[in-house]
Amino acid sequence: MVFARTKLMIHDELFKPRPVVRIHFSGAHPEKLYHEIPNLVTKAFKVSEHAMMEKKFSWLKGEPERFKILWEIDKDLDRFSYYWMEIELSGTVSKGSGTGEVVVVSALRTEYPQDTFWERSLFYEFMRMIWHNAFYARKREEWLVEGRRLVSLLVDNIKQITKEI
Amino acid sequence: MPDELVLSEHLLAPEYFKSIVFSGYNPASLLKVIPQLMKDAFRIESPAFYEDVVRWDVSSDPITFYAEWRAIESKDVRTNTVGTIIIQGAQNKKDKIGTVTVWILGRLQTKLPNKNVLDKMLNKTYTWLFYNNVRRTYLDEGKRRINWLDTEIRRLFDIMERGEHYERNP
Repeated sequence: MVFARTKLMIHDELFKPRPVVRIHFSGAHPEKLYHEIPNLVTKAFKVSEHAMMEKKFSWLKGEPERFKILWEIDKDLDRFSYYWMEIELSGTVSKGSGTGEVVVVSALRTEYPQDTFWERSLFYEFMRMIWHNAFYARKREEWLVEGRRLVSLLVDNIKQITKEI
Repeated sequence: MPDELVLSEHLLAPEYFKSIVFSGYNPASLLKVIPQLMKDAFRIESPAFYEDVVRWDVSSDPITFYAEWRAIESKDVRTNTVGTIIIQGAQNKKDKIGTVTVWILGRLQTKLPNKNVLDKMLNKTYTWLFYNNVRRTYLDEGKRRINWLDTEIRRLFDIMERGEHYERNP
């Protein structure tokens, strides 16, 4: 991920034209998936827990209990590109059983810094465009294919666990 | 030229905060517990702990409350970790049932002297060659402390705790 105040971002969703994958399930203890999802992500994407941030955690007690958890995952690919993914787990549980939903949104992001005078110059931009189209675009295509494979693997693993619940 | 160069980074990057929403029995108990939790997490004494805002309105039912706390942990002569917790919620007077939202924020702040051209030049070399790795360690430590705070708040309300793969100690 590029650390820059101003940057040009190219955001390509891994799944097109429908970038969102939704898995609905019901069974005993749907909240158990809360512990499973981080394990599945770290294994599938080969990232450490530091690359996975739990952005929001909501737990409403009562009958039924409602929960919603949102994670963001960033996996660096090189200096400019990374996989970005958001996973949301939500559901209800009452007396040990309930329903849940997992939503997966994923994308490949490339960021070019534009902080300095040099990075904003017309010449730099011209050279960057040539380099991007001549060499980098092909690499990004490979990453898009690999990203799709990894997310599909993750979704399959989540489905498998929801069947076991 | 400013006298100081301040490098500030969010501990929870890419997001700058994390939020916990809880609904259940006695959410206002957080007002009592959080100061000590923050002192324990950041290993600081009272002078480095600031209770910036505490608002408590008992004139209506439900009671509403809002509070902000800040803990400053000194890492070395140039760097501090600043942890902030903001809570906002409401609680019924009779049955003590209510809702609270907790926002946890963290920042790593490094201040370097920047009085002249020599300072400016040496700052860049020093941070690039030596200090970046040290700051990276501080970032990891800060993140661990915030995760620990998160776990303790959840334990208090008896809600789902974080998984085994997260670090447990602050």
